[in-house]
Amino acid sequence: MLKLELHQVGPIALNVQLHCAQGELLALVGPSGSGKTSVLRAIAGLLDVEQGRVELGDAVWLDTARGVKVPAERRPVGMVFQHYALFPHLSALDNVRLALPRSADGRSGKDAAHRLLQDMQLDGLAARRPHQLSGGQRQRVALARALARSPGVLLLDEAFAAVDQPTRQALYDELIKLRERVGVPIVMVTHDLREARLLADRMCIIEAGQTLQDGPPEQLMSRPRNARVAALVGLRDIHAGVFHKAGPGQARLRWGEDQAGLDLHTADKGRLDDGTPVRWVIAGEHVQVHLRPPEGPNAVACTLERSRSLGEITTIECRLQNAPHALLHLELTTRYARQLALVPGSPLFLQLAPQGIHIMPVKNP
Amino acid sequence: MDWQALRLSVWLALATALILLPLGVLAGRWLAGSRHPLRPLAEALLALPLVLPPTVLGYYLLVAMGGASPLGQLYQQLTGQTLAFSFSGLLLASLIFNIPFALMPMQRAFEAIPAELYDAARSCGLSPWRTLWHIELPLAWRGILSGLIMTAAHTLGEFGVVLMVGGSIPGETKTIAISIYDRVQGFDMQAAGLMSATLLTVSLATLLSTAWLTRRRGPGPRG
Repeated sequence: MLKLELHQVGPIALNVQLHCAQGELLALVGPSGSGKTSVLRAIAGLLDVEQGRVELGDAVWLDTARGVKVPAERRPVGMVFQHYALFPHLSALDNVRLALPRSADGRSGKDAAHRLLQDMQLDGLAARRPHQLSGGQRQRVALARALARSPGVLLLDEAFAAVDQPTRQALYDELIKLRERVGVPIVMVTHDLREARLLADRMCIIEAGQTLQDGPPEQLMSRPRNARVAALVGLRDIHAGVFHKAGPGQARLRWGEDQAGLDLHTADKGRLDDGTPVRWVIAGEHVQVHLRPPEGPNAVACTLERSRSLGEITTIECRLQNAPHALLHLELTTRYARQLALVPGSPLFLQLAPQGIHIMPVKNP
Repeated sequence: MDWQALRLSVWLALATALILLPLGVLAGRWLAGSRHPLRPLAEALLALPLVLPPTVLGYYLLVAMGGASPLGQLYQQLTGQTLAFSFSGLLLASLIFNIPFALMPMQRAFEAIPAELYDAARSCGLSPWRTLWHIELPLAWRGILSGLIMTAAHTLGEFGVVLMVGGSIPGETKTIAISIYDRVQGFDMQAAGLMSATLLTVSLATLLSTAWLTRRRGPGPRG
């Protein structure tokens, strides 16, 4: 288990607490300049922090309180950099070989480096220098090099950002296979939410050097802690509303902040007072699209504003009839969208599952 | 052609370049990676020989090496000879006036290595020594060689400092540049012309080889 706690005021403000279990893939997600890469560099020992503690299992790599600081070169870390950072004057083989432990010199080192390259489907490219390789091949060499030290932690810094989409997909597959072989904590920095959802067991949202929330991607997408997290995990529709109690365990959510609006049924978990202004979200999987008014709670009449087909997925934008300022964006399979024969201006009904409505308090409503 | 002066100049140039090689590499590497507040001052001091008139630099060196100076006295106690007007004194002066010529190309070469490669080297477990040997020197060698060539060529042609510190003692401090001056004074224009043509050829070759080294960069440092 990798555990870390970092605190500093400047030059890069950090206030981060994280853990990542053996075999787990943790994605650090946040906007540019949020401090994600700094966290990774602090784990690797490439960034000095004012106060902190980094430990892997029983090994303490950093403990500022006790004056412990293991230098970067002595931390068993495999790191893949955003721009590969391959040594340009060395062949793919020598890039990997240089990272092998010093005990693996000579013939055994060469064989080990060849095996690592083979594992990454780089047979026949061992003699090539980085500038003679494609982006995807360079990234594979970088991965092979990161694994050469049999690292206790694998750190990926925007590792897939600089390659084209098909190559990225192939590298994702590679990483998924790699996880089966290498059971170490993997910490990945990305600004690509799709990538994080696809690959990560847990996501940690960081902004301004602060961890805002961490948890499984589905949890963060459906139950963000606050409106900021909701925005950072890419939820487009963060609605305003007013929370009203409506009997034991029941609540009424007024959609919008004005009196005229739409009431939705939801659960009362006893955490909010009556009349509290809130923000709320609902994940797409909790919304059903109908052409006729459905039975049951929270059916809202809408008009289709626009739809856009993106291959297998079609996104639709719906405007509420009772609250014209409110918009909902949904993703449907293109096949289903065709079945519904939706055209702009079509009336339709959305049913919002009460348990899918996630209410968040607002500090400054 | 004054072969003795040419030999002495070549020997002085080689010795200067070889002694400045490790010093230039270490200082260039330090300056390239340093954020020390005194770095600009260190850079300015080390670049002084570029802008100081050679006679001014020569004067200060002569004073520093003279029999009245602590350095001159120490040298005299150790060797029984004076430092000024000796080959050793000339070599010391040559080392000092060549510092910027050796250091600057080396420093620029180290500065051109992307910081990410240093991070990659550390995360690959390379010690500072192995990083220098396996990563920095192979990537900076063109700049290092360029610094050595500039140093050697500059030493061959230096006149003012050599005359101030070394005088014109045949076989000891009389370099080819001094010899050309002496021949012109003695109206031996043919010998002066031949030696000048030799220095011209060397200078041209130096500039060409430096240009060639800077142009042939090979694979980009990013990889």
